[in-house]
Amino acid sequence: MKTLNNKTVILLLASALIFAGCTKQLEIDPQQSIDAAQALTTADGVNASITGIYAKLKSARWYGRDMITHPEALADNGYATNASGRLLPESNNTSGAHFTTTIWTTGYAGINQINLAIDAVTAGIPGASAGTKNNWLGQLYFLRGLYYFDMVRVYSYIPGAVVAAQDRGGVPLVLKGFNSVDSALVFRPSRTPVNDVYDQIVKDLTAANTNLTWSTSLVNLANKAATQGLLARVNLYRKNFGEAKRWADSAIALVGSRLTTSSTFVSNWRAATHQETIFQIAYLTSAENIGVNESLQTSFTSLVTPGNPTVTGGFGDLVPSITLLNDLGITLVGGNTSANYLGVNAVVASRSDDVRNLLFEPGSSGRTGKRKIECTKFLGKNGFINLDNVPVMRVAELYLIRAECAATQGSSVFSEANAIADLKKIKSNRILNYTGSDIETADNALTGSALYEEILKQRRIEFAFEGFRFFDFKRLGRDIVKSAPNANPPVAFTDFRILPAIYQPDVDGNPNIKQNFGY
Amino acid sequence: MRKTTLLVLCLLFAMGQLIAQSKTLSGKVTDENGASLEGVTVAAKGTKTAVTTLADGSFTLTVPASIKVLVFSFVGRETKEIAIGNNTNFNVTLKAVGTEPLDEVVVVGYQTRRKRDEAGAISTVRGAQLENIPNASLDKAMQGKAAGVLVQSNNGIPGGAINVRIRGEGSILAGNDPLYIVDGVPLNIRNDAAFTQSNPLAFLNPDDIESIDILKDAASASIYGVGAANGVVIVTTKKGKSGKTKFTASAYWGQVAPLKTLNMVNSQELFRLRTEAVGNANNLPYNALAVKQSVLGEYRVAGASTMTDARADSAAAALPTYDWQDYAFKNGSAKSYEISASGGNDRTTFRLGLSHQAQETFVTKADFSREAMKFDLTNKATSRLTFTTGINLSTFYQNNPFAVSGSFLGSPAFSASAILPINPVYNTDGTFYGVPGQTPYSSIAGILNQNIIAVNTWNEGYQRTNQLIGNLRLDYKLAPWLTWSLFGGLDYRLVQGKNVRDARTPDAYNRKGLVTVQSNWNTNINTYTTLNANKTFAEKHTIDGLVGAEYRSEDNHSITESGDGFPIYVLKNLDNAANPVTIGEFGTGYRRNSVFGNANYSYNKKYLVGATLRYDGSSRFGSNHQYGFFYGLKASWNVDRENFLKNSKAISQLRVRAGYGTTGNDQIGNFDGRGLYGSGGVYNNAGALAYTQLANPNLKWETNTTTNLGVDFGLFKNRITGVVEVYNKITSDLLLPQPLQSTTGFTQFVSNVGKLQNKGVELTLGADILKAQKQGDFNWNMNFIFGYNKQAIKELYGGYKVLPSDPTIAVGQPVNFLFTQKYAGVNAATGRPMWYDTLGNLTYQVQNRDRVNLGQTRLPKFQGGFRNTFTYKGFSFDMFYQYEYGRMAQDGQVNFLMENITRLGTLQDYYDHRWTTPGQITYFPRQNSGGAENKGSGAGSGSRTWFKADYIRLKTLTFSYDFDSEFLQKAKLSALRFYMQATNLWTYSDWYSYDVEFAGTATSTVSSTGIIPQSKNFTVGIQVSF
Repeated sequence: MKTLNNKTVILLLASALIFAGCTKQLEIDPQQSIDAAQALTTADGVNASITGIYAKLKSARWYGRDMITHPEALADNGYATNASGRLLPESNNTSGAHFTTTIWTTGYAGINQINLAIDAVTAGIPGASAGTKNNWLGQLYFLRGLYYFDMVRVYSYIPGAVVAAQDRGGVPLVLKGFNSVDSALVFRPSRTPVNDVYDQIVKDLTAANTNLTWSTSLVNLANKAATQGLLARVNLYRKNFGEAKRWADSAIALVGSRLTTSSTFVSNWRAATHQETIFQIAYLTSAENIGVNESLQTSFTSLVTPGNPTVTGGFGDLVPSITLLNDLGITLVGGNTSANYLGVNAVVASRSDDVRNLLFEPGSSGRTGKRKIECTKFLGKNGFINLDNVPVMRVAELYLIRAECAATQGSSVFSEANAIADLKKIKSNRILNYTGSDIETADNALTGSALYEEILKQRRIEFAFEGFRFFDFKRLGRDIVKSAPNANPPVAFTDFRILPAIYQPDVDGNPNIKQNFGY
Repeated sequence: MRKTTLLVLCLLFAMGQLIAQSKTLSGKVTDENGASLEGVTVAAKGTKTAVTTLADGSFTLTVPASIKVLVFSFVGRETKEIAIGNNTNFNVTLKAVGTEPLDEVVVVGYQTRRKRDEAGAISTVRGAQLENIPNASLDKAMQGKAAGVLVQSNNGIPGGAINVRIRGEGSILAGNDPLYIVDGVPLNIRNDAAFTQSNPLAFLNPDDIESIDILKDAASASIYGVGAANGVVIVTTKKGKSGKTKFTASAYWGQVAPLKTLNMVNSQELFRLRTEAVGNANNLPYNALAVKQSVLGEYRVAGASTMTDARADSAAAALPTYDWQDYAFKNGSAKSYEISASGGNDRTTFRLGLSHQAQETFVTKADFSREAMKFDLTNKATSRLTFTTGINLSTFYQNNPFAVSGSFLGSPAFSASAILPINPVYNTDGTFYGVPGQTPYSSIAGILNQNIIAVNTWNEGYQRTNQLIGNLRLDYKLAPWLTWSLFGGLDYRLVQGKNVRDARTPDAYNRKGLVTVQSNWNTNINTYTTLNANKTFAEKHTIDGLVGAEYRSEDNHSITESGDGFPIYVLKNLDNAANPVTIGEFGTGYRRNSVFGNANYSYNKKYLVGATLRYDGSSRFGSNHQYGFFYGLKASWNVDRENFLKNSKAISQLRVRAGYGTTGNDQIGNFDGRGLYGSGGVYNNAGALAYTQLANPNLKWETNTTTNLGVDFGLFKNRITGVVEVYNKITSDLLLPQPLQSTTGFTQFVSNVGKLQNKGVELTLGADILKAQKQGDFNWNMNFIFGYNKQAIKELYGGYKVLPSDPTIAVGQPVNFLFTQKYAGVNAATGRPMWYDTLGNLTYQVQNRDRVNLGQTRLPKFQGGFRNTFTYKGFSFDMFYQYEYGRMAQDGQVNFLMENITRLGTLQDYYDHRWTTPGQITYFPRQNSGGAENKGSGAGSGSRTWFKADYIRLKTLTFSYDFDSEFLQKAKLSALRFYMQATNLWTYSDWYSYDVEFAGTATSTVSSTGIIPQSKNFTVGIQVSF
């Protein structure tokens, strides 16, 4: 060691110190995320987590597109133009083309966040007042009800319309949050019976109803009117007509006169928020834009502005079928026939007095060879192309729910007079010069199945391209007769294609979960 | 001393006669290419009499007549002993060491060793093999040159990403990229470019590379511990040499051309296909008037709906055909200029290199240009202390293509073949046809309705990468056998980009332009210290080894912004955007901390053993497992040094090697072990949180345990040389996204469960088929490289035979095998496509349950290269082939071009072989404009678009001429070389679309949709040294 001099020793020691000092430097924290243990300990954290639960509903696989487009494509309202190829398999009811499993996986991610937030809020958040706490819980129960309702109506049969031999149950009810790998790894749920899922939905929504308030400024968030409206819809689905009517009555009373008239209905569709809306999924900033491939605007229309077919925007992948045009009261030059529909550019020959058909007009020719009549309910209303709020519930639905409850044979609230009154309430606000017209006279005389079918027809017209049609077939157990020019044979209610496949890995990894029939 | 002097003087007098008998010898020393070698020591063997050669390689030396042998030696070259005999003039060639595989020097962990002393599996690529090839990056340059190293281009974007796999893929979730170390600095290889692919290795001019050493087995790589599981690529750049300052200048110019264009149908054939499709969908014959009218209507023929049959036929016959490939694919150019200077004295040496390269490709816009400056300096401050620094500054600039891959309407690589050929590119007045806002209004027919020529003329954007890689090293000799080193390295990269979607193009017309800017900076700091020992005892026992400690940190930060609503398309800065669309900021990083050591012992240079140990920590793992041990053991036996082989005529070199060791893989997300709430987007103007990840405190690295056996041999005076390696690499604690029931709110968490095996054989063979007897004679050298690898999952967590979330990961099978429904061809009666169902029956409609294992996909079974070099006098002719066999890939591009709905341009081959009449046996189904037939699956389902991706490609063909020394002397040059080179000249493959040589991302299944293919390059160049 005599070769080492003092300077060398100092150098060696210094370098050894530098590296010894580094041994504690493996510590580094993420900048984009926060530790899960801290997330729900503050009011800001709870608010942000609840915001995240709403944000999941914006996905193009949920209200961003599929929840609106698929009920039109899978049933008889939509015709796929093959402009981009999107929605063509769904409109042909090709096996596997259906709601995807994203609603399932996104849904349970949201439900876990809901469950953890309910636990955290119940345990207490420092500085949060009782009012804040109640509002949080109200929103969380509403969201859990909405999530489970969407999931169970997508993946399972609806009570009262079940093919028993093919019924594999509802969706697993999970009401406890997961916070560690250990508990998550051993979790092996089975599919909860459909009725039990609906019971829980009603229970959550009922709890939400006591905690929430209503104001028109709340339509982007959980609110009391939306909760009551959803309770009406859920009870209609499960054929609990008395409850459905009770909640519809209550919601109508709560929101007052929000129904638009035949003179304001169309202009309201051009505004960011329709006056009738009691709950919508909001898309406010251009960063939330779903874009030219999959937004609702591009899915339904190639137009950028109404009445200007020279500027091409989106694809217009799904357009009204011939029977929908007929119900809307739109007649094409050359007639509403398949050959004419496919062969020439669509030009409107005449329209009925129903103002709802003014939301349908010829599109641009920039995408396909032959212009079609397109739906313009989604038209970049929020200020940018492809950016639209998506109404989940409009007040018109409450009247039509109530009418259907009253017109359904065997219903506890059966009353054809009440049914006709609500039917006329809608039609008089949608059809020009309705009062005193032949239509009104005919409506006054409706009875039995004619009345019932007229109410369903009004649902078709009122909510065309709003994501109702397939579920109406499904909850009533009806076969889907495809509409011309789609030449496919009917999809029977007993066909396995009525239900989508559920998330396969959950089936593979858990013998308790049964895949839907046929997949 | 005085006595000795006296004695010598006496002797000198006494031997005066002998001195008179001394002789003067002269000659010239050249390298293997005939270039003069300056500074070669020419010594009379057994004496201290020696001279060094002059700049022209010449020497003159007077030696006593008693001297029988001259010794020629030069650093970095073989040493030659030549018998003097009666000769007085000697022309000697000294080959660089390394051309003989058994005498190479290799750079291994933190030290340089003779390859003969190294027992690991190491492939070396010499700089001479890389020079002057128009490659943008060093990884591309390694292609086909090292056994067991698979190099695939992701695509043909100059400066784009490359896929390098050493001995297969040992990981599923974690990365499979090797560790790259340039002059001691480990590189960050993230691709941080947002708008194009930017290969982080493109910063270095491949001509600045002296050698690339690839550590393939764990015994060699374990010194790099947790980062070394996928092998280590050590790049050593050229350094200065003492002597007169030497300048080298070189340049090449070339042309870039498409590999091939696809043979598409003309408009009449397309019309026929479309009428069949519309007819079949509507139960009408293809020649029904209504069908013809409908299709003519789609094709925007005026008055189509009222045409008579005859008029419809003549209108169809009059449809023009434009092959958009002719407009979109243009020949590009490639050029390179570089100059270097190197020199120094016995205390300080330097090298300075400057270069400019530019390469266009044949698809706009994906041009690349790079300016690089490299400076290396070594200074012996004292007899003990040496400073070394190397600084590499480079900036490279790439144009943004519309898209790197995928089915984007505006992307020429995707759309040029698929746009309906009836569409013209230009209006009669020379303006672009079918662009938005035109009066009178016209638009491109078909779903690909963008004029890609206009779009790519108007859109602009760039990605600029500025990179500094530098190091400073200090070596201090504590004793003749003991050196202490301190090293600091910096890899700093700034990637800036801007992308403009022009307001005149369809994608941005309605939003009046969309501009996005990006800035990403990455700071990667690395420092280590080592104590390095090397001592020989009693002549026969040699011990060498080192101990050291290392620390590395990497921090990455980026910002992005975008805006739309520009007042006029000329304005493209975000200042002018009416509407800010997005703002974003991102930051992440990791830390590593380690101590390591190794020791080697050799006995009489015959028997060598070595051991390595590294204790390594990484911040990426769970709190319970941040540190771990890695080790390597190796032994080798130089059999040719045994007495029984010393006189063998057949076997000139023979060595057997064995190695065993472990390495780790930490190429996962920086925070994969943490429980995290991350950004959940926004809702109702408020920011959101989403529970994104469950904590896994037990997360740890993957460990690769590799056993390697190797034999190095040389036969018949090394006329045939070779290396054979066999290996078995077991990856345990395989990192997997372990599935959870999604009802827990999570579909997976990152975990270590499973075991993967890669085993294989590698062969490197070289032979002088015809060996030149003297300099300038005809010489034919052949080189063959072969690598075989077999991959199989050995175990999965919980006893699963198949990974629940991913059926393409199964015990006994390679990762991501092709698992889909098997296409069965066309029903001859109906023309509908059929598949095999789960029972092996034919079916029109397949379900997930019908998927079966159809074989290996992502990686070839074997691959390698084949090189022939012919030299005669100054001429050299070199052909290099590379090949891959046993890989399947999805031809996504062709999937679009043989759709049975005829929305797009269609391949001629499909047109010629499609089903049209009952009874016809063919493979292509009938046309149906409705897409999938009723109760049938889409025609592209299952295995239909998967094809064999085997190929043999003539990768480079080089012809060069080196001027002879006579000329050089007159011209006062030390070397002058002209060359011509072609790359990707010829390919043998059954692949349908543009280019069979492509690779997807590490984990996704590969598809060729819309990728920018590679190009054919032709270059001519000149290289001069003086």
